[in-house]
Amino acid sequence: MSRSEGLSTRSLETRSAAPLRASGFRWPREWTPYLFIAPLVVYLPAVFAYPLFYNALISFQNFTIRSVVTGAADFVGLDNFRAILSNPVTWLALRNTAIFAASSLFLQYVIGLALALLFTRAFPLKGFMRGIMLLPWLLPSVATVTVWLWLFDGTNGLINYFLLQLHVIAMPVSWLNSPASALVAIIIVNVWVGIPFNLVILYSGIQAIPKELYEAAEIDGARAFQRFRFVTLPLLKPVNAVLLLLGLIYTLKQFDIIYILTKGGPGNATQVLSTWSYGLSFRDMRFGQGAAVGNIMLLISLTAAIWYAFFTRREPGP
Amino acid sequence: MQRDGMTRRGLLWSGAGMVSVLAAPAIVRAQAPVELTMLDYSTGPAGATLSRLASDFMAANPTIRITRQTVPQNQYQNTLLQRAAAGQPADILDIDGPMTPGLTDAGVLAPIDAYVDLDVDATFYPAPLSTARWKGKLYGLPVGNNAEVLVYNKKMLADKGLSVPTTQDELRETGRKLTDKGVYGFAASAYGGEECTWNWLPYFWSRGGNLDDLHSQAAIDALEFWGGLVRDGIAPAAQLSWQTAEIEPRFVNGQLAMAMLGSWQLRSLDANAKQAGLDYGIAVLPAAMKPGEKMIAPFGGEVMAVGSLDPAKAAAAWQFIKWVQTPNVIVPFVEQSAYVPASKPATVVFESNPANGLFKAVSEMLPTARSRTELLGASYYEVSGKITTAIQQVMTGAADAKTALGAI
Repeated sequence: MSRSEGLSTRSLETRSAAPLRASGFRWPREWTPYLFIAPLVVYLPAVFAYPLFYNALISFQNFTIRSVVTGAADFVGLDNFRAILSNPVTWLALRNTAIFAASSLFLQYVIGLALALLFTRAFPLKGFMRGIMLLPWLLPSVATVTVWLWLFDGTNGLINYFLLQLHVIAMPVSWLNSPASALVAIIIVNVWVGIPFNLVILYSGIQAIPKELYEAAEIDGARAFQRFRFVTLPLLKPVNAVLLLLGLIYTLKQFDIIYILTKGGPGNATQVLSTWSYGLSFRDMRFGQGAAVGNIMLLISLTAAIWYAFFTRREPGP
Repeated sequence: MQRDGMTRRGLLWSGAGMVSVLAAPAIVRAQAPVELTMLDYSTGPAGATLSRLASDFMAANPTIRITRQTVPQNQYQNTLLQRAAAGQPADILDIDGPMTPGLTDAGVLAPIDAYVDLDVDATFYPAPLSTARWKGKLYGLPVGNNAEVLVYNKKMLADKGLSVPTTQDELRETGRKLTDKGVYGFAASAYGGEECTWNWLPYFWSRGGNLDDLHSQAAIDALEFWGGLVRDGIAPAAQLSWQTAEIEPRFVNGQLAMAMLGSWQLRSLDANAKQAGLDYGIAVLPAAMKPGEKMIAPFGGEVMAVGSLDPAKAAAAWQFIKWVQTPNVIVPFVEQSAYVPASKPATVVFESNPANGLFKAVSEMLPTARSRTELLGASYYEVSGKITTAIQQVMTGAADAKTALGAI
């Protein structure tokens, strides 16, 4: 435009804009995305990072019941870690956690995969069945685990009743009150809770595999099991990695099931890291040691997460 | 005139305003009642009675106002700690007796020795009073106590010609003879938590054991005795999962010949037993070693304590705590909470009511009862947890008594 036109337009702008933007500042559009993530940037550190940091801090302090009130605690370096690592119960809890996690993850996966394969076929009431399969995971664990507590009862429980009636066992089994079977009982309940999650993720993973691959394999003469082994399983690898990681973290965090069913007993037979940390902090009032055990759980989860990131980064792109 | 500032009328008004603003706090303070908060975990009829006590007290004492707040029992200690940390302690607390040492160490309780104007040692039984004291200072007054008692199925004992056991050996023998198909001779909660240790302590203390020496022969023998009942089939292994509340229905429907129940369950047991037509008896725990000896058992109960260090509030809180101890004020609360009274005057009023005859066994054991925290203080709960682990290991046969105690 000519110089005179530009000037007049500009003066018009300034005159009408003056009452609204006296400073002349305009919000840059590139800043808008940051505005959207600002609440998250404030929320995440406050709710997650600060407690994590505080937990790490407590594990190096002699944090007692008095410290809860006054906030003051002496720094004791690695004493808390030394104390828990020299406590045989910690190693017992580690062993129980390993057995609990490995068995749960394996059984949840296998049963979840079997069910997912089942649901790829059409059968009556398929939609309804898929819905109720989710219930164990959706219902509040306190309610469902309390029902399991009654089912497992040694003298009046339904499980013993049915097993005796069907002559599978001759004497009632002391599910929750004998060291060996208590661990089995909590694994059973954890598998029951975890199957829906595995089912859902594996089902969508299987649905994502292109049908053409199966057709090509069939044309090449592959039987059902070979199609499963050479088409389904390899293409489920990324899904498996996610499932393993999340399953491990959920299992490590699992507290309700064990606490309600056995409270870590009988005699520490089902003591796992989560219940051990809780007992140290809230029964023994040794918050520093409880925090130290919590940090061990955190380290295990971090290691799994780093492995997962490494593993999925190496995957060649589709 | 505007230029000079205020007119004379303006001066008068502003002067009056200033005087009233300066004097107002003093006038208000002179009229304002002391505001107290009471925090407890009582629910149901006991809770309603506490609220009624608070309003009765306020009616008689217009200068003190009490606001009652409740939290669930399992959150009570944490709530006290949080409020103290936030600088907003509750003034009147109703704490579980064994909490006293821990809360004192945390600085939540305020000593009341300076305000006490009655002879506490003459009024209260020594064991409950000891839960209101720690390291020589008094922090409150006990309001009521409970304990475990033995209940037995009269018909089952009569059918086998057995008498009610009074010693530990008799308990084992009678239990063994009563154990039959579908019936266990004896049961007591061994649930992980305070109940397991609490149920074992009478059999330990009555052997001369003490909580500061858990490797003594008394400890080993007591553990072997108690664990042996389950290991040898006299008591069910399932009792490791049963809280005391779950033992009552099984006793009523005849699965257990004898059982240890809490005195707080006796009224509901009475009602359920009448409905089921069960002829049952209540007896003192058979924890003595020799016939005729007194057994030593733990007890539960509450202490009404002061949580505030403000002298005005603490003095007012003491007025309430002292007033609550008046026999005809505290006995209704004791009855609603299924306690027995902790003070001698209140016991007289309590026992004059024939409906309280159910609690005779508890009143009998209270004079020789012992406090769980007197030797260990705040670390009692940690030791109790380790004892529970040892008891459960011996009961399930996972370890023998000596090895199990060796881990403590």
